[in-house]
Amino acid sequence: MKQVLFLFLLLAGFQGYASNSLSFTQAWVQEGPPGSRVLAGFMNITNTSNLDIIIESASSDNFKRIEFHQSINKNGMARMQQHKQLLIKPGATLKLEHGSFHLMLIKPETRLKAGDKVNILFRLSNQTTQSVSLTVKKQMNTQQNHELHH
Amino acid sequence: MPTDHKENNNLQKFIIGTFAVIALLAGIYFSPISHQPATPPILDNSTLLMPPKLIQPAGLIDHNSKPFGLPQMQGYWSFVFFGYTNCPDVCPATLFQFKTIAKMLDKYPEIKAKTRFILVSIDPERDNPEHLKEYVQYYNPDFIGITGNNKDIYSFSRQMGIIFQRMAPGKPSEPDDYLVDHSSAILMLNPKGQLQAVFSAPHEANKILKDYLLIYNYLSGLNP
Repeated sequence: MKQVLFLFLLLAGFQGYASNSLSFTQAWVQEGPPGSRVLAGFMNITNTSNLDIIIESASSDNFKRIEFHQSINKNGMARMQQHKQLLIKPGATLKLEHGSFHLMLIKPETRLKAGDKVNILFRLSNQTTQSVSLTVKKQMNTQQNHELHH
Repeated sequence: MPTDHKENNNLQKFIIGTFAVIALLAGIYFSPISHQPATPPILDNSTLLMPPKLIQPAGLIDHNSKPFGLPQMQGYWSFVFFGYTNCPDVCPATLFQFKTIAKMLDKYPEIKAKTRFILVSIDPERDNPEHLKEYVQYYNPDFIGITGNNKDIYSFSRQMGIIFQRMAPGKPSEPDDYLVDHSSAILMLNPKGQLQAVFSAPHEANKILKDYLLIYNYLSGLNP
């Protein structure tokens, strides 16, 4: 019986490891002014598996390079810290948002406008990949959008 | 008695003088100016500089390559942010807040006509006037971009209490891909071109507008 349970747990763990174990919500890119050489990408990334997941790199046909960055406002200074990888604990959600972690999308291949879609491919530490579709938007969030219309 | 007469005169002068002072104080107290708030407003996320600080810009140009000195800084209340167009997160977010404040000022057309929004580039090597113009006017056609050479931008930023530091490129093979750390404050110049207030990050349009209206009303009362 113990062996069966062990096998079950092993399979369950393997399942969590090998399947699409990241889920993405609110994935978007802020539209930039004409000639923008850098854009920022935002989303919520949830680890739905029971294992740590590390995103090791990101790439897209729409950008020359993608880096992981974190905006830090400390002692009145706006700083940018690059992260080589993103670690997401089991069940945790990493929020990529303004003023915090975000994707730095370097050198767009074409001018991206509100309504356009871009695909980003994440390479994970378990040798799998997952892609996410981001929508280009003008506004940073619904609250400020709301303010703009009043 | 001559001495009594002199004492009476002095007493009369004292009484008249006292009444004159009381009348003067009452006049001031009941005058229209006295209805303006006598004490500085309580501000949420900004600091009022009293007295304001004199600023002497030199060598700067606007996004149309026209000189931008003290005469151009005068006549308006100016929100000023130091940033750069290759800034991926903080600068677009701040320009978006400027855009939102400008839109919210539609409710106050008299104040809006006296208010403007300025982005000063701390990356003049990459931010030429044409590129800066495209950038700021994407957010609002009335926004102004300012640039200049490194030395003049540095001098202006120091006077405004702003510091910045260019970081090493992410990849040595791409020396033009670098980030710049910079102060996150928004500054406010008064219509005399003096530094009047500092807004600390994080920046939220509604909070900035609330403080701005308090500052505007308070100082307009002091200098009608």
